[in-house]
Amino acid sequence: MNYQAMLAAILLIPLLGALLNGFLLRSAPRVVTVSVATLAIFIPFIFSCLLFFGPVNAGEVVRTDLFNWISVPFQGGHLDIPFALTVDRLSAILLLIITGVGSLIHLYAGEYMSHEEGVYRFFAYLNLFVFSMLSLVLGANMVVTFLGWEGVGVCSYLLIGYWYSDEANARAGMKAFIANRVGDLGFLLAMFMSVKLFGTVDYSKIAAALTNELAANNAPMITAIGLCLLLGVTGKSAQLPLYIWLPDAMAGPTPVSALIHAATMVTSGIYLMTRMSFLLVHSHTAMTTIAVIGACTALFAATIGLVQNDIKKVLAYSTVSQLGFMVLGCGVGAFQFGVAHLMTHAFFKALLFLGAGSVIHAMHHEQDIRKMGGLIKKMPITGWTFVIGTLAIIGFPGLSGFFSKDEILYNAWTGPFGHPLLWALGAGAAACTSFYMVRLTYLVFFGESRVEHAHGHHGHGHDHHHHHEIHENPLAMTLPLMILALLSIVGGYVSMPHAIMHTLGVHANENIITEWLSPVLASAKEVMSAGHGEEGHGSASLEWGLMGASTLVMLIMSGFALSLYKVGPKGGDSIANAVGGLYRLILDKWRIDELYQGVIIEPLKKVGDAFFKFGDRALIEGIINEGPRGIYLVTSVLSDVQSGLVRNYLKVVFIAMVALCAWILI
Amino acid sequence: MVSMISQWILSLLIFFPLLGAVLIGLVKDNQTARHLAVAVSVLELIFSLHLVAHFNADSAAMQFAQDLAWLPRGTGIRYTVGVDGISLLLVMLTTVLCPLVFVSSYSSIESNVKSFLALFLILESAMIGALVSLDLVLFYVFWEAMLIPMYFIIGVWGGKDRIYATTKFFIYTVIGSLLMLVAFSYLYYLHYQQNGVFTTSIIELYKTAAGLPADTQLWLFTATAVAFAIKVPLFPFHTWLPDAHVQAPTPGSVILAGVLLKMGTYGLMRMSIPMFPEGAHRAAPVMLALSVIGIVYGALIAWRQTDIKKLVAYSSVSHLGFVVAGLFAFNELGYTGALYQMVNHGVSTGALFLLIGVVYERRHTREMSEYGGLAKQMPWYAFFFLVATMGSVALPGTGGFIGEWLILNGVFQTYPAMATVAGTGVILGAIYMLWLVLKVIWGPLKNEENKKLLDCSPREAFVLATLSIFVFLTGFLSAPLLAHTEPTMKRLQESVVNKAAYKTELVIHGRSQEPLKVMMDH
Repeated sequence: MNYQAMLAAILLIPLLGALLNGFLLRSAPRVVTVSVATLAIFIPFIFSCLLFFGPVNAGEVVRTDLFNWISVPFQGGHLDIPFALTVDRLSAILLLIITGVGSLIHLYAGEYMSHEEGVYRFFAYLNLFVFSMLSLVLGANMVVTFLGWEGVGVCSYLLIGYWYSDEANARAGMKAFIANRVGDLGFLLAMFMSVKLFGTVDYSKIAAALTNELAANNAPMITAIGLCLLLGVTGKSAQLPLYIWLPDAMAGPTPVSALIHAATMVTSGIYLMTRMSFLLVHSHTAMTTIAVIGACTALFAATIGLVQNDIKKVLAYSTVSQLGFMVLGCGVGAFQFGVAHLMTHAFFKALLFLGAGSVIHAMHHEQDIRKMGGLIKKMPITGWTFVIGTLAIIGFPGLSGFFSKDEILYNAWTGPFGHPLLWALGAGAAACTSFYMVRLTYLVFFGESRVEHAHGHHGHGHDHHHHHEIHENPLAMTLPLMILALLSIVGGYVSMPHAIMHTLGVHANENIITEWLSPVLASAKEVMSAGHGEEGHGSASLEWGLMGASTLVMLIMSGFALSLYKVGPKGGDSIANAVGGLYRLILDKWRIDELYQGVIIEPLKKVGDAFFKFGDRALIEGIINEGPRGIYLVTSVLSDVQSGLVRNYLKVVFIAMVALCAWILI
Repeated sequence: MVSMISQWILSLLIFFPLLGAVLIGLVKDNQTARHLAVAVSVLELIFSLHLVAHFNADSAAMQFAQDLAWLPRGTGIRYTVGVDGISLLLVMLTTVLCPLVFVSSYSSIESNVKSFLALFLILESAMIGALVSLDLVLFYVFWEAMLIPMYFIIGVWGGKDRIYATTKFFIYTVIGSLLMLVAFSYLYYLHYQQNGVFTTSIIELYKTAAGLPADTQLWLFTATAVAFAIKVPLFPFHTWLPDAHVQAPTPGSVILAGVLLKMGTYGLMRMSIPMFPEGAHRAAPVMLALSVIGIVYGALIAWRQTDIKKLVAYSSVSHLGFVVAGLFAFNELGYTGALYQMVNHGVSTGALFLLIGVVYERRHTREMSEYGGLAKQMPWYAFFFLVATMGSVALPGTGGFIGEWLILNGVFQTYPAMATVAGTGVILGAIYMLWLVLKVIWGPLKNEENKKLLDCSPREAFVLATLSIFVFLTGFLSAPLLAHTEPTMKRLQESVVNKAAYKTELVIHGRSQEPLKVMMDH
């Protein structure tokens, strides 16, 4: 099998899986459904490995043109958009994450959804999601990427609202789709501008066409493209101001939250920015805006995470915040570390979500951390892997999050578009992360058990009332946890800071991720070094200093959280009471949803109503029904004013005819 | 043999449904009549495949042409028909939709069945006729002929306020028609003044019209454009549409949204723009502004409707705004997108009206609040509803995406600000459609009445599945489909950019030994 065919197979097998489960295997036994769905992701994973360690590792770019998709004459030439796939070093990383983490999550979901009726629907959506996600990262041009971009949006919509009988779930799905659509308009406009400027939407052709001279002559347009792409990113990757959909998206089944709303879909924005890095770096404005949005989102979302009591909501705001870190990394010019953090985050956040799912599953859909506690004794594997995930995300030295987050923070200070203030925002967010994650972990797994023994809350169509002890879940659920825990420990070594590399005596110029992505980022790097001098303004001592500072902050905040919550969930009350109003504002998520509702949605509804009542009914209909009457009064030719509508209409016809004939004759 | 068929195929397509209508009159019982109507429309579809099979995609000429004497020679009025890249797609849309409508009418039409079927077949004849006419008078005859069956379809088989709605529909369209008639008569007269002979040949009049002074062109453009804009309907001429849709029976709504509205945009594309390019240029900012207003205005109103059919009707105002915007972008991206979007809108909105019909037949209400949670009771119905919705919101992978993307892209190249405002229609489209889905499909199944609902019958499922397949086929096969239109689009662009006469010619098959011979017989 050649690599081209393999590439096509990677994309098409998940689609096939979705079609099989969606149509043919509707009444198949559960085990068949789950196996088909999981294999439909696992086989592409094997192919992805072959590609990754084969041609991609050797530095080749594999490209497959499936068919001619859009072909339209344009400006004397032709605008041709083939349905083309390409895998280079950037998309190869994402391929491994999507199919690898995806396989684990499918395996897990088979068990997690084992009490559900008609799971074929769930797995068909899930496979369709993977298909969309793969077309997003494999697309050789912006339109194929956009197919995936909106495709993941639809699958997300369907999966968030999977338990549609509760209207709140369906509404959450709708909210996600619409917020994403706002961002998608940005993506669309960016495509149109690319067509205008380059006459193509093919990434490699744009890259070839974009010379320094062209960029300099079209600076406003380049900035506009950058900002429009950023709008797309804020939608898909849940950044300010469009992040509002992600916390609500937790209404979906937890494996969905792990796969879509932590590991893959929400990181599309980081992929897109890295893909378009060669263009973005030409605009200082765009890059700075990206960095500021990322840093602000990181801090803003982290503050909300401090006070949430729903296990998934804490993780959701944490995801928004971590995505902010990645966006910040891209914005300061350290795209490779944005991608590195994307990867480590995919490991540890998927781990944390699956761990949360394991808890929720064992507790029959209880999500309130105030009703948990001490679970580590009953669920040791879930508990200890969750602890590893927490240590990874808060940046405990040696674990993956430490390396990837640290590199972003270092570059936020010293990168081509960096600024100490950006570092400060990021460090603040990191401090909050340590606090809320330790709080979460401690309240769920340690201390006294606060589990209530009456299971009153049985949502999602669970009418069976089984009532046994909380215990560890089967291997299908714990195996993915263990694998992800391992990856969360070691995944970060790809982005080892220079200072540590030198100390350890590693003889390499760059860390692994920088080296690996250098072909993808070469032109961006060239532009950045031309504009900002070689290697920015960092030094080994600064690197050590910042690393030490963030480790210290992490330790202090973790210790602070432990000391507060060792007495249970009420431990934070004294502080909450002390700052009363602010606490309630943060608890209400800064009331941003209410703000949007009041400032955008409700006024738009009123405008719609007004258009209908005054525009259509009163004004246009008025003119049409009353117009003839008016003409009558002016002309006074006929006497039957009060006749029916038809006659009035005919009068208009008559007069219009007369007027036109008169005009023509004159 | 093939050239013989090619020579007569368009006449066959025009008159075969008419013959079917006559046959329906001879049949005694309703059920046979229904079968007969389906058979006629399916045969018509098969005949139309001849066009696809033998259409020369490298040519912008009017193919399968026929040019016969009709009215006395001195009038210059002839029976001239032909098909190019623009009409081909729309003829195919018509012949595909009609059998589906007949199949769906088994359950939606229960009174005066035979009259309904006969009228509908006459309507099909008239639609095909209007699409292939290359003579103004012939076009006008078919144009008016479409009006009469539709007037009765709404007026006889419609809802409670059907008389008001159908009268409104009739008057609006007639006003437009008369404006058009005045403009065409004047053009006819001008041609005589300049050339000493009368003609109503559209191909000939392209030359005359494009040579007129700019002011005259603007006036004539305006008169014809208003006529077509009413049919589209373009804001602010749209208020007849919601009434007509709400009152029309399901098959009427499907064909109204699916094909009849496209007659307006077809007219702009075939007549107004290429005949009066200078006038079109002058009017373009206004036309674009009206379409962009219509996109946003229609979408916001659609969102606030509680009657499902009204919601979809207003969504058509918004969607057709995209089509008109594409036409006045004045580049091939815009025209191609507009033409493609006419087809896609026909498919997805046709499907939506059929879907509304399915539950209306069961519950006799179109109030959104009466529904909710249907996914539980009617899973296949929910599936088709979602597919039609995705087509309507122009999700990539559906034909709607290709159409909207090309339109917005085309408009952006010439008027970036307009395209950006129009782009908000993409967001608003998602809002009102997902709102509709939320209220009808998702949520708890509360209403007791809905707990008894049956999922789609095999007949309904067949029709909806066919349309669903088209939603996706158009989304991926756009390149081969649009290849048929490319030469025509290029010609149109040449004419518009140079403000010169639109050039095309008749290709009459089998006139001599040569397989193709270009005929100019005036």
